Amino acid sequence: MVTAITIDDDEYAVELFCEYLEILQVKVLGKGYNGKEAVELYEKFKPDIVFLDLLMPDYDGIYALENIRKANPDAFVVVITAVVDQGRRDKIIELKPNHVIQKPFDPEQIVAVVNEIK
Amino acid sequence: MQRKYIHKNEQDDKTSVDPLGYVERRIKFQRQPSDGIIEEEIPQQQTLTAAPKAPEPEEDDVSSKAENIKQVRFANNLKFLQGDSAFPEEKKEFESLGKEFESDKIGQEVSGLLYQFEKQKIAMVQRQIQEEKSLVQELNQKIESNITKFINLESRLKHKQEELEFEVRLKTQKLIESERLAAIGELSSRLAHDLKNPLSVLKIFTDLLRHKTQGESDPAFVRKMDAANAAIFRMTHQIDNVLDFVREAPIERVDTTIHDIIKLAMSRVPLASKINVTVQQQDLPINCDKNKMSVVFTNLLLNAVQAMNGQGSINVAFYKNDSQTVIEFEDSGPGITPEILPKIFDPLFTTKQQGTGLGLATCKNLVGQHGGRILVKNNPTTFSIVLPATNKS
Repeated sequence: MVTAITIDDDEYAVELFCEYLEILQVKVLGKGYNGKEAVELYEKFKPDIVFLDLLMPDYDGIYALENIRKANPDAFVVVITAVVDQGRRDKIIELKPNHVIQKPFDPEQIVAVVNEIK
Repeated sequence: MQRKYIHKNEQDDKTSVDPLGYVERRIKFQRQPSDGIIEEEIPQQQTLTAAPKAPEPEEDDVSSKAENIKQVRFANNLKFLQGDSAFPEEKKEFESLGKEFESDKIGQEVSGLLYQFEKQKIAMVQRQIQEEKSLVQELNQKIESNITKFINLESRLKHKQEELEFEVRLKTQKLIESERLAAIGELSSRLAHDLKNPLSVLKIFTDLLRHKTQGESDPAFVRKMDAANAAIFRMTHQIDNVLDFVREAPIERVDTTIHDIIKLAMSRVPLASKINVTVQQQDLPINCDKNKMSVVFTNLLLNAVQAMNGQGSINVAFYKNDSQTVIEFEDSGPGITPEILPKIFDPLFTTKQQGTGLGLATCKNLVGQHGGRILVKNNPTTFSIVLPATNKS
């Protein structure tokens, strides 16, 4: 079974997304609400996939991606974001997430990502 | 011998070769053998000193004395002519007159020389005047030419100044516009983030609901689910539209194909079952910003779908030659009225109740970023994207 952690500052978004992942038979090991929690959850569970929001208060997705890459350069990270502004765009490209999916997304895009791990 | 003084005006002796009057004095010396009288012309000034002042003698004495004098003078003259120096007074007078004669000759020569000199001087002065005249003329011409050049330069300078002022105004306007757009961009970005997150929640919810109600056959429920999804899509598209228009990110060219871009665009466009899309079978490689070109294709497909009011056909054809790649989107819609045709790519121009009026303006901007242009024509309604060939495409 594919394992994952999901990180988003919107609590409802995390709840609904996790429910959706379960339909796709993805085991959610942890739920986080900022970048710092993302790093901690990753180091704790070493999941197959990290679903990561970008814009979050205090510690954002960039912080999380940077530190997860430090912990494991081959970590499979999927950035799910509403907007990628020009300021963060270059940094994201540098940190090379495996996928960038824009909100609101189609279920098929998540299915494609999960199938890539399977 | 009798000496006769004749008063004569000096001016009479001036010749035509002496117009300036350098010969001030001239004395003629003549011998008249018939009566032995020597006539001597002297200037009037001399007359005053040379005129005899003695009282007139008596007539008999005079005639006899005159005869004596005549004889004596004749003899004296003869002696004088023979070289006798027995009459020193007469000889002195002769020598003096000779000298005057010689000085007259020298005077003539001097006068001639002076005249020649004056003539040359005049000629020289005339030449100098002529040279000066031509120099002045030349100088005037140069001044005129310089003034003309100066006027031309001034005109060019003024023109350049106007051009620069126009450029500054244009750049200032562009700067203000870009600052305004940057502010709008930032605001739009925040709004987009704040709107898309709840939209995403709604979307996941409708997807979950659809999944959980897969067996539901109530047509009214299915229609409501479709309407909710369409509403989410429309809101998302409008937010994207604004973001695509205000964002001025540089293009990032990649090697791709037209089929790839169409596939990406079609995944974003909800197509009703009564809309038939035909894409040319033979694919074509293209070097462009895939994301941006997919935004253009999406907008053109959506525009066609909305124009056809839910039913009709869209035909996508493309070709390329040495200089350009052309992609044509043809639809079976009613066409665009001639009045609105020139405004169709203007920002915020829309004939629809829905929509931002930024879709086609965004297409024009993005195609323009690729160095291309977008054209439209009626019968049938066709939008053509013309992209210049690149080294890679």
